[in-house]
Amino acid sequence: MALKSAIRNLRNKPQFLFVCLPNILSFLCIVVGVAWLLLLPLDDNSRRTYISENALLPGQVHAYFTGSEQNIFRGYKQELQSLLNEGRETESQGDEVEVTPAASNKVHSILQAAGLKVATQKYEYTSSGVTHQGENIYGIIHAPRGDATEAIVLVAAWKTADDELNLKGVTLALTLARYFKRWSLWSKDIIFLFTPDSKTGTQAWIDAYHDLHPESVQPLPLKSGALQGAVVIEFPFDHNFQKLHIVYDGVNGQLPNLDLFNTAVAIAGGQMGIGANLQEMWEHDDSYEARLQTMMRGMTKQGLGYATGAHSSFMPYHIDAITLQPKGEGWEDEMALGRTIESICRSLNNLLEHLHQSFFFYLLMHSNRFVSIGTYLPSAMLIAGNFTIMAIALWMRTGYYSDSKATAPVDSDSKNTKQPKSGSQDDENKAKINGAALAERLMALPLTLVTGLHLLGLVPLWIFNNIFHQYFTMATYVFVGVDIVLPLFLAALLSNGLGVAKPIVPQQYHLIKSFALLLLGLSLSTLATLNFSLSFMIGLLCAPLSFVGRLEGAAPLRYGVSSLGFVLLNLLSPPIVVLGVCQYTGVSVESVLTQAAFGWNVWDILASALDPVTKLIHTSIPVLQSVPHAINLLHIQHLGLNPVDLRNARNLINRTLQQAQRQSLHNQVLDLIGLHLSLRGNGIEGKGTVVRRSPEDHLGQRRQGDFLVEEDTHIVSGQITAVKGEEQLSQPVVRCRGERIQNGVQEELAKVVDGVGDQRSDTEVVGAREALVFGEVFEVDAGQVQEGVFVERGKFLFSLE
Amino acid sequence: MAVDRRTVGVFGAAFVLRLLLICLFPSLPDLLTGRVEVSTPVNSFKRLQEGLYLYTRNVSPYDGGVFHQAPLLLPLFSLLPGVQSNPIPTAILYFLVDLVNARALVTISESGQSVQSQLHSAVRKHIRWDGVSVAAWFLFNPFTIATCLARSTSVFTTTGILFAVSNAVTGNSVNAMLALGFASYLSLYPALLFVPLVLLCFDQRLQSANKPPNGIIYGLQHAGILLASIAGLLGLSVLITGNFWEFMSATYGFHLLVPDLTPNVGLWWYFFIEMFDSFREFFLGVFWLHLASYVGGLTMRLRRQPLFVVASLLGVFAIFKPYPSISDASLYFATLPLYRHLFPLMRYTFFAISAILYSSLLGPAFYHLWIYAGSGNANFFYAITLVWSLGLSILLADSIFAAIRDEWEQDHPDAQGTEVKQV
Repeated sequence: MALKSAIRNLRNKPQFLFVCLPNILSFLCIVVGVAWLLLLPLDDNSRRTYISENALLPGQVHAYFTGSEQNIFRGYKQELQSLLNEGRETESQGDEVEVTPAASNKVHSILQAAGLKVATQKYEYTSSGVTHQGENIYGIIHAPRGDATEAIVLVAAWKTADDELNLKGVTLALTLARYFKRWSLWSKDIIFLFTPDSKTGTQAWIDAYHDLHPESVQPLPLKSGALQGAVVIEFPFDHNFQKLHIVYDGVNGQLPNLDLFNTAVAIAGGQMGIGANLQEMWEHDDSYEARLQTMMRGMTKQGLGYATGAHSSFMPYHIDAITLQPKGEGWEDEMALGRTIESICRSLNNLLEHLHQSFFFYLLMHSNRFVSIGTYLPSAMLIAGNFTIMAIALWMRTGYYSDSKATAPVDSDSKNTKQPKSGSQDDENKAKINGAALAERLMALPLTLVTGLHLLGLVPLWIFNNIFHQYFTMATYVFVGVDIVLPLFLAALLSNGLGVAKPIVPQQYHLIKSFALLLLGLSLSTLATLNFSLSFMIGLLCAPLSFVGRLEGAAPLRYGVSSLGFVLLNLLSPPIVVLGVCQYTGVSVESVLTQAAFGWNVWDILASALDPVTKLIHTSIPVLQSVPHAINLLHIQHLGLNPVDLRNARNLINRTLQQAQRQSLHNQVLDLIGLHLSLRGNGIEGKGTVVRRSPEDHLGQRRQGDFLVEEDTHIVSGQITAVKGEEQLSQPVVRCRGERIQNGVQEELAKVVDGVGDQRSDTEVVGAREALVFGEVFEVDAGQVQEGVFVERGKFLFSLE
Repeated sequence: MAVDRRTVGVFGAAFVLRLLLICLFPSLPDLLTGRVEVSTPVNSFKRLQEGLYLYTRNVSPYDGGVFHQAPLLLPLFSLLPGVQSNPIPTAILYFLVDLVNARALVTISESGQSVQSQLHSAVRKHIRWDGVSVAAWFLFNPFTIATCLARSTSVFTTTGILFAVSNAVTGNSVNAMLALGFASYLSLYPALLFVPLVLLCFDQRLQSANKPPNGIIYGLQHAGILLASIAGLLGLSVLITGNFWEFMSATYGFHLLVPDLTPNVGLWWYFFIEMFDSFREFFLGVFWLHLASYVGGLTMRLRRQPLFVVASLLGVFAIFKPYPSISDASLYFATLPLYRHLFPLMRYTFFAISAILYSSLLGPAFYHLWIYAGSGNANFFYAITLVWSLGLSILLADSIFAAIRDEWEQDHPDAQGTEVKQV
């Protein structure tokens, strides 16, 4: 009853209901949102980190990287150092250390000598008139116990994220390559990647790995399976170090799975006894202030969304990655770092499926303390919600209640629209209805204006990403000017028409504001799910927009307040904020904007957020990625799972295959044997390889048969129909594992097939050949192919090119 | 029919806008074609390509279980050049279909049936938009544009439905039944529109003819025409595919039994993923019965406005169909401006539209988190499809409320504008 009477009271006070209450609610939302964030570091709101993926077993193995390996490390370092020095002398570039071709060749030859398959990739990017080019070198250790379906990446960039020469890091990676090669326990391939710098090299490599590289980047001649994780090694100084600094922020605010970070912390801190730091908090006493500061730093980095190291480029492809940076002066040497990396690799090697157990959305406040999305998201949502509340209130106000005296006659009728008093006369009714028509919301102008102004934002976006970097400072000041003048001009145009247009009515002001705030709230709440920090920051900067309104009252007061508001809003406008922050941090505007344009052009910072499909279409399934369209035709017949899982699995397969279809090398022949399937989502996650096809295999356009996907966790079997072909590649390349690359298709193929089984009919040979047409054969497992005329359990593993 | 400058302007602008979009962003159609919000298993252009491929090589298009669309689309599309090499002709075909649909909407709007019919005359009949504005709402609706660019085959069903309605309001009841037959042949569910459409035709007939025909005989006649047209189309299909039962089970069986649970904007897929197999048949029945039950209820309650029943049913389909996509929503949104006179009576438009806007932004974001980023799961996307359906349901319920209120005001002229109270 009390509630009812409260509502009745509210109805009787429209001024309070439509004007004051929304303001109060909005303000409360903002205050609570900010307070919420400030409360997060408290013990009650944050949690201790824990390893959620049991397979990782961090620090449970002994790391053997010691002793004699150090001599090899010194030898490699000496060689590289002398080559670098030579290069410096001959090219006399002062203290600017450039990676010489000689040093790159040395890396190449060391990897080759260690027994790895080595390949190189040249790339070139142009952004804001600056050209970035270089050559990546990488080597692959094929897993002795694996099937080349999964791989771990170790990255060493010649230049660290801070542009220092990473000589010891590169040397350590080389030493580890030689050391890892001799172990027989790897069940995942290990890729060693050496890039010239931390910004472009990894991006070029990872794009090419997933066949999404631009023209200016070479494709990769050599690939392995789906990447499970990446660790970046930095060691840019000569002395020993004290602590490990773990960098984890990805492009666009994406974060690696928390398990990877926890593993690194557990191994560094627990097993090796090296402390771990994060977010450049060298002295962390686990106090409230320190936690808050760590969290804020993390949020700033996430919100800005730029790459904080070579690992950042991996994140958009759903590959969890971190950078390990030794920091401080202490007594830990490169061997300790090497052992840490060895141990992390062993943990990743244990993984049965892609890291998925732990959190992807979190804010870290200490190396062992975090808050997860459920706890922190409400703060950004409250701030986004404040705009929506205001938008709804303004909308209601235009329909139910008008506070303007100028439109009094329309006003009284507009109330009547909803509840006019009863009248019996026909013409009276008509008058009322006409009045109702007048009081209809005039939406055309507000809608056009709001849409148009938002589209106008594309102009600076285009300009700042396409002009040369010399003009950035000037362009910023131009936009400051435009930001000041344009609103004034628009306001004048709208309020008295300037002789061009009809002046607008107060209702339209409310509608314009309502639509603009609705759109803002909409975008911010969507953004909050993708990049919490960015949404929070923008929300706070825009918060005053909720409370700006038309003023009434005496002219001097009105002018005073409105010019104050004008100054405040301009201070919060994007160009001024950028200038202010640059002034405060002492960075030049030009370099910030160059970075931003670089992010847009190379890392696709926002482009990937706006257009996830084009960029991220093929996460983690390089093999499937290039699988031509064809399939989706899996009718699972029997499965040792319960019906729910069955249906999930079928959906997941369909979905994965549809994803593959999008890569549409349309209508090509595809043999499903050896097709790697990656299934994930809704409780099931796994990867597998199709290993069997039943004998009902036909020549020609169609094939039918059973197939069996061996997954890590389940066995999925089913039926495949309708595989067909249109374009067939004429010059297939067949490479057998362990042999040199050869182009002679027929012989090579015949050899492979002969080696597999002798009784084979032509049909199968043709079938197999068609299957092999597209890529490289890594392995033909002869032992399993025995019985009958047809391949019963032929294990053709191939990656499709 | 004389074509004035405004019509040409709107239609031309719509055409040029679509052309500009595919010329400026050549990857856009393929991107949209792959979106689950636009392409479902029963209207996906990519699946059509698959069927076409098999068809042109003399293999049954339904082999492989990918293609589930009507066989008659195949000869049509096999006449067009391959989309991979030359996408423009196909795109132009879709643009033209959109314009034809808009033309049908203009006819419907200009007939004035939405405000003034045999049994009903709206109170606020002067508040209305002309045909060109209604067509513009349809043509410039982002959902329509997305459907058109994604080359979803639902646009042909839309054509069938709109032509059935436009012929019904102009009194060509035979043509209306033929068009409805075409739409039902393509995607089955439009057959549910038969009852309100026959009533619409019947009302038209009452208006024009001096001697009113017998209602039952009239209905039976038209049911006969509808069945004959569907039978004719099925006969043609048999000529094309050769195997009657195979294509029946691959198309209509697929619609009815919902075996493919690829995510879409509807409510069925998640429910049936979670369902245990033993209950599947029962709930399939319940879901279909639920969908079909709206026909009777709405037709009886809104007997005086059969056109409004058709419009509302389109909204119901957009929410409760087994494989809905945004093209169904765009068809429903296209019919709403015909009822411009009801807008002042609607109460929750802003909330409904906000919910729809929120879900159309959050949907792709959550799908991204689920499928690509791997940091979300299926529940994220399903939650958003619930919001989407909620938005549509509010809009639908609100418009029905407004229509009933309008009828009531017509019956009680003295009570116009009084506040109603829900009891």
